[in-house]
Amino acid sequence: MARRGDQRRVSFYAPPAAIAFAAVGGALLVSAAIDLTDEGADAVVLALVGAASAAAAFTLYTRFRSPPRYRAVQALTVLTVVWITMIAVGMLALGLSEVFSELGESRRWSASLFESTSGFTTTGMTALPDVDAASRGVLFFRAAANWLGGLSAVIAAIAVIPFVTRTRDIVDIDHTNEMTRRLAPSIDTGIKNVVRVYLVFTALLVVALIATGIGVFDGVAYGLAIVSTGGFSPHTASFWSERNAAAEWIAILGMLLAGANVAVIWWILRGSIGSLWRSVELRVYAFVVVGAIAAVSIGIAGPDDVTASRQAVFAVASAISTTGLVAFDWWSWGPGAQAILVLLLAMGPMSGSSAGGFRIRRMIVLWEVARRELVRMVFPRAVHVVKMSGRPLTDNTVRSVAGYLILHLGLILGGAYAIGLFEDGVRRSLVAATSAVSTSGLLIGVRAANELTEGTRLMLIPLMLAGRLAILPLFVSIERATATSAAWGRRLAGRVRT
Amino acid sequence: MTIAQVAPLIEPSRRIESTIAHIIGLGLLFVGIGLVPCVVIEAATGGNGVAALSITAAIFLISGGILRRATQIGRVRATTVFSAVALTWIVVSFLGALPFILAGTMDQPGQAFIVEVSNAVFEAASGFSCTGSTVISDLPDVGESDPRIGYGILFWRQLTQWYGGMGIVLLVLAVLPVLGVRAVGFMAAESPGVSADRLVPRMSETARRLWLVYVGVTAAIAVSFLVTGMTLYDAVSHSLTTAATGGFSPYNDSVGEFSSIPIEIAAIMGMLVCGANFALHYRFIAGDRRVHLRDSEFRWYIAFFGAISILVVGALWIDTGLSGSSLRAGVFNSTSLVTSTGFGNATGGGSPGDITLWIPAAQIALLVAMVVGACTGSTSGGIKIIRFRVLGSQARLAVKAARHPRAVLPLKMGPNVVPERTVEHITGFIVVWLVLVGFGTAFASVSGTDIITAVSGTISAMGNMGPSLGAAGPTSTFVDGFDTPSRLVLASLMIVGRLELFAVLLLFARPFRQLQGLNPRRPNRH
Repeated sequence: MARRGDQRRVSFYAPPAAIAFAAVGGALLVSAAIDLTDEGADAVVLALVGAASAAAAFTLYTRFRSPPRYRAVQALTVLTVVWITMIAVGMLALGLSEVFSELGESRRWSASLFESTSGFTTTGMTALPDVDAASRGVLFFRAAANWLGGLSAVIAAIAVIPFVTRTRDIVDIDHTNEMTRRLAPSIDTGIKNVVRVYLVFTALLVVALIATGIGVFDGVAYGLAIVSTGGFSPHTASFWSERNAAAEWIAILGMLLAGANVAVIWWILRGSIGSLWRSVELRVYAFVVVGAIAAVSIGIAGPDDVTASRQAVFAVASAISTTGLVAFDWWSWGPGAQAILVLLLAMGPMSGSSAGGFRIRRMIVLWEVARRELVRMVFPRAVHVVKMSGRPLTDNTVRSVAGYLILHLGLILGGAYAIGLFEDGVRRSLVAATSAVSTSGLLIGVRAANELTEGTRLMLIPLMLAGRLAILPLFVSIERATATSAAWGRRLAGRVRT
Repeated sequence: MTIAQVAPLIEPSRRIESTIAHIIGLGLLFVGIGLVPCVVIEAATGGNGVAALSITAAIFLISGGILRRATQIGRVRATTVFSAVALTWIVVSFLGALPFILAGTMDQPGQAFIVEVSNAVFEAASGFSCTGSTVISDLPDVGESDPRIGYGILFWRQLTQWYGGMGIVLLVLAVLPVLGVRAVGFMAAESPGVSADRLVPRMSETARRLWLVYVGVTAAIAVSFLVTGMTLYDAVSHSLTTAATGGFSPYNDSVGEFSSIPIEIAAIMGMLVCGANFALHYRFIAGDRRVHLRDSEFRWYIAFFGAISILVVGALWIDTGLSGSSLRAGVFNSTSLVTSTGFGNATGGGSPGDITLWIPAAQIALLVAMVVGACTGSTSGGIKIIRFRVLGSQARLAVKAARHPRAVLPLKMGPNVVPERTVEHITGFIVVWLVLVGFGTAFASVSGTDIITAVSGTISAMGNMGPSLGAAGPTSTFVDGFDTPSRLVLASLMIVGRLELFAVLLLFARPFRQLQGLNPRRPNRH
């Protein structure tokens, strides 16, 4: 919306970056204020970086304005720019604070880059050697990073990508997309509604958590981390330290809801629950959750035990929602339960949530394609249409899901190879890569990422980013970068020739 | 009663019209003939298995003869094709286990008979599907002999893979009269890859020529093994499983038993040749010397092999420093798994060739090789490079489509547009493949196998590789890694994987059974 006589230059990337700077700057200033309520060790650093970030936002805002509309490739590149901006500011704040000071100069910065990426991609693996020892300000900032990352992811998934890639009417054939379309009739209204739902959901969850008696600070920190399926915890032992059944059930409910499409939460908040069941994706999600809980409960030692079934439910919710909170010693469970958890975290929950993973909707599309192939083998000449919720899926959807499958698998296996150069054990490498690409943070065999080698952590950073950006924007950016450099190469070559 | 006596009893006019039974009968006859040299070898070397092998040979030949005489080619529907191929393989795998059961090869003290039978079926399924996973842990060493596991029995084990390599049904097609338009369907249902390449218009002629090339390649590999220092018996038995990219060896340490660089180089060359399309080899022999270079799949295959070798050797280099032994182990095992053969060159646990002890990155690269596989029309397993190429281009298009939402983007490979139908078929294939891997992994891990052994063992079975990572690596057996029910699941996945899923799955699919009687189109009668 250019004002009359607006002297600012048009830029595609500066205005969104300004918003990112402003958001992270605001989060840092709040963190600094919260740090003052405790010992205040990091308050100055957080406040200074926050102020600098806010100043950067202001500078960009006064110099640049956004163009009237974005083309698909520009909008997708914007997403990459937004995340890199947030991660860079977060890295600066964490690197200057006291939390990584004992690691020495070089490792301090790699650890804070890891922590910041893990936060804003809603992964939730931590490089902190001792979370409990960190200052309140830093702990709050980590939770806020999760929250901002989750919010940005949902806005991107609901209100940006479907509009700019024109997949709004093609990909989303399920009933959830009917709901999504009402939630986000246009980009502006969509963003507004998503922020509103997200705020209400967070507030309700935080209040519920505090009501269980885990304390105001922990309630807020967990609330922010659960709503965004992030999974950063203010304690070294993650959720394990709470030992509070009510808090665990609230967290389970929160994680499962956070794994649902935001439109589903919107409809629940509005009270129209009846029509939700028409969504195939939601039904499959519920079915997978229930089935996995049953399988894991049978797989672990004491299924008759109430605590054990709560452990199973917590583990399933944490894995499928790609939150990655840890409440129990589940790396000591049998291989069957572990295999199910790894499959769940690779799958991920519904599309349109802040979670990562392959997503249930894509699984449904692939399943329908496979089923049709079997029928086609018998009747090669008949015309078959892949249907979802009774409506046909277009060839375009089928093709893009197939392409996505290969990108996703390639990313996991390529990442596992790179991690395998540094890490001990094939299982660890594969699980760490899957976990990072799904932005889950759940690891099996190690309690936290600080037990991984530094090389592994460096390899995990691009994987988390790729998983968060839903892969597609990242590859588009890379393709654009290579196309640009190829064009430059040609231009240079032409100049040399003449 | 001999076949000669039974034959006249069945007048041609009274023969039952059943294409499926006819094809199974011919298949049994062909495989039965292969048992004859096994009996001879067993008798000549004084093994205990002469009776077991003779009885099995008689069962194969008599039942095959009766089926062939009592039936004739009838209607050929789409369903007939898949049923015939799948049932032939299932019947042959079960009957092929008989020598192991009768000779007591799987006999272990304190082991239930049912476990012994299931192990024998596992070994036979692993043989015919060219997988090469074994449950026998105490094979005799070079020069030794074990009365329980005689040379004839071991030769039969090698021979099962050789039959499975080029395909039993393809062998049957070579002698069958015209089957009509559906004939190519039989070949497509059995041979690996997305297309069945007809060398000449007549199907039986195509089948004959492919089998001739196969025999020729096997002979050439045997000669190269002889030249590099194997005995005649070793050379022939290893050439059978190299040509089939199967991977059985009469020795515990596989090719590692010989500790010989020339033999390993000969094996690498043999495996690489057999991981490529045999139709290309035929055209090469027929005079087109540049046919391999022109074929894009072959070029990708060589590139993929190079990439995996570099990744594996590179990872080993980082781990242990660059040495001759790591280079040798890396290249040999990469070839073995890219071509889905499964030979090992480990000389016991802890040696450089023991892939389960490698740095994780090298093991993951091998896992990728196991999933991807080699070429269409070869004897290898896995998903096949061409399918990944099509979906890879698909992924690139998906990225492009995000940039240009309204563009019409046909999927091209070279100058040709790949039809949407093919893309969906390949997608469906990969999805079902992955679902089955997930199922096998879940089944095995719930029974107590650790995740890596479970997932790699299942991929190994589906892709017809042989060794897995973890507890069932090249220096151990599948008894170490999996319990009996899991091994049976793996054995069935091997056949499913060898026939590329659909033929076997359709036997059990509900719509298929419903539709069998309702085919609206007129059948082809001959």
